[in-house]
Amino acid sequence: MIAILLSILLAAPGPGDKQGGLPPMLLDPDAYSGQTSGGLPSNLGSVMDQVLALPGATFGLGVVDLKTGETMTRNGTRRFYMDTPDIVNAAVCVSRHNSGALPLDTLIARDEQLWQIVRRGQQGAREATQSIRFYMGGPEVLDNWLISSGYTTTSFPGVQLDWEGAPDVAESYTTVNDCLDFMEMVYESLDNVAVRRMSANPPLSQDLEQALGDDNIVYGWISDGGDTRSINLIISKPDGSKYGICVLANNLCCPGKADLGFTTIWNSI
Amino acid sequence: MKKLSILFMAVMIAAIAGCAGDDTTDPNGDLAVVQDLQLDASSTGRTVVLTWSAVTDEIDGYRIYFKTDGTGSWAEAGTSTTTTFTHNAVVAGTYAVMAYSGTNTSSDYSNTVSTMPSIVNVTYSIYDNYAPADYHSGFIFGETAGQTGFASQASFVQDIYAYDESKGDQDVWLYSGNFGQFGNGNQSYFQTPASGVYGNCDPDGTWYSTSYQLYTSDSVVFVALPYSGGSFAYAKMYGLQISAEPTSNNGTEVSFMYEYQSNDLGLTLFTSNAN
Repeated sequence: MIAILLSILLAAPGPGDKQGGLPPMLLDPDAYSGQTSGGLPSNLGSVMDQVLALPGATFGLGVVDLKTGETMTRNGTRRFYMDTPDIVNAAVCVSRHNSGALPLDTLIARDEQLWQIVRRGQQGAREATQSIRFYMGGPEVLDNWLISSGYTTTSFPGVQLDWEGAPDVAESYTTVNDCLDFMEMVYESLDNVAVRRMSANPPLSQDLEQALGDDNIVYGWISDGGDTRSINLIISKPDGSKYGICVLANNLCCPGKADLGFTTIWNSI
Repeated sequence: MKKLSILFMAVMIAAIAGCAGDDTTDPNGDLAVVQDLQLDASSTGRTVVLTWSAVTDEIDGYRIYFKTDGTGSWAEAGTSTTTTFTHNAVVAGTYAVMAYSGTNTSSDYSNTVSTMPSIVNVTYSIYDNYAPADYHSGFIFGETAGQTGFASQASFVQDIYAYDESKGDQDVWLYSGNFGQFGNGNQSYFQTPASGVYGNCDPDGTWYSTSYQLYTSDSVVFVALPYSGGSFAYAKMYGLQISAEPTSNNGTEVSFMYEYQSNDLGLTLFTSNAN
């Protein structure tokens, strides 16, 4: 096991491997002309199993090839606690934008369009992940959308407050399968500038930044609190392949364990 | 030549005297005083419609006078040959009418009518959710006095309340009373003043129905308060001060005074005062 982990860590690009160049978000995904990888790698299943076997965490894992729709998961239907459900907000807002119910560029408050509030939540503002429910037209809008869209294993009770004396945070849950769907939903709308802006520059840890390097275009949502961490990233590689990777981790012994799980999967793609 | 000079001087004196007689703001004649000046029910927003009873004298028309903010001296707002006049107002004030015929005018101004709001010249303070829990965050606009209270309590049906959506700074938002975490109150709408214009808000302009982020540079924000039946009262929060609440981390105090347009016409006119 140690040998496997060592080989994984050694395979990960280190600081010295940086190629320089533009920051990821300044790259134009359409500028890439490389060939797609043509589906998920054959060893992905065994890599996922290795991650599942890591001590000190309970994992849900998933990868979707965003060009072919091919997916692979582990614990795909198991419900995991998610600290701030910002990916759920992104998905419902994209869906309602596409249906015309509430465009993302709606001037919803003073000097603030809807996508900007979604982005505040994506950047880690806990209260914003709750207030977006109100800005959408009431908490029932999101709840109804989850039910009518078939995402009954994802729940977002909505209380996400930061201030002293506030009601306790209400626990939100989701599954790998739902998160992969949410990422596909967002990916398919990335030609919209508001969708890109609200999904760009997720708050990556140093380990994830190192693992992803400078050449990949990354959108996504990361949240953590207590012994939980959720990583949902849409990644466009320079060779033109595009993946959604979901790592849901509960019962974490240490925050870096989830990042290790993600990095392990990423390095196999 | 000397005779011509004397003649010229005489003409000039007569001309100057004539100009004095043309002063259109002071009643100086013997025509009847206009009676029954009223704000017509068709007045709304920034459109003020005046009506009055006709005088029986032979006249050329009526001059309509206006006092900005209801103070100072009369200024002519326009003339009318009928007994109605529409004023596209930019600020609240007081109106009067005189009849005129040539240089002759009514012997006095008519009765006056006012579009002035109720000025609640009391400083109120509300606090956001990062301030101590026993500080009031909610506010109810009354015609002659306001009321602060706990927006978090269902028994306090606020029009607006202060709330901070982001931890770690001194930002603060005004929330509609029916929006967000403590949204058990009344719907309110917010509008930013046009640059430097504090005397009116635009009923057909952009109104924010949920929240309104306050900047420390703000001195005025307009609030629309729905009545039953689809009509609105309007308030102007002025003298705004957004400052850190010193006994708490990240708590913010919002202090303000306000003006209130309560008449059923839905006028959106206020004084020109911002502070």
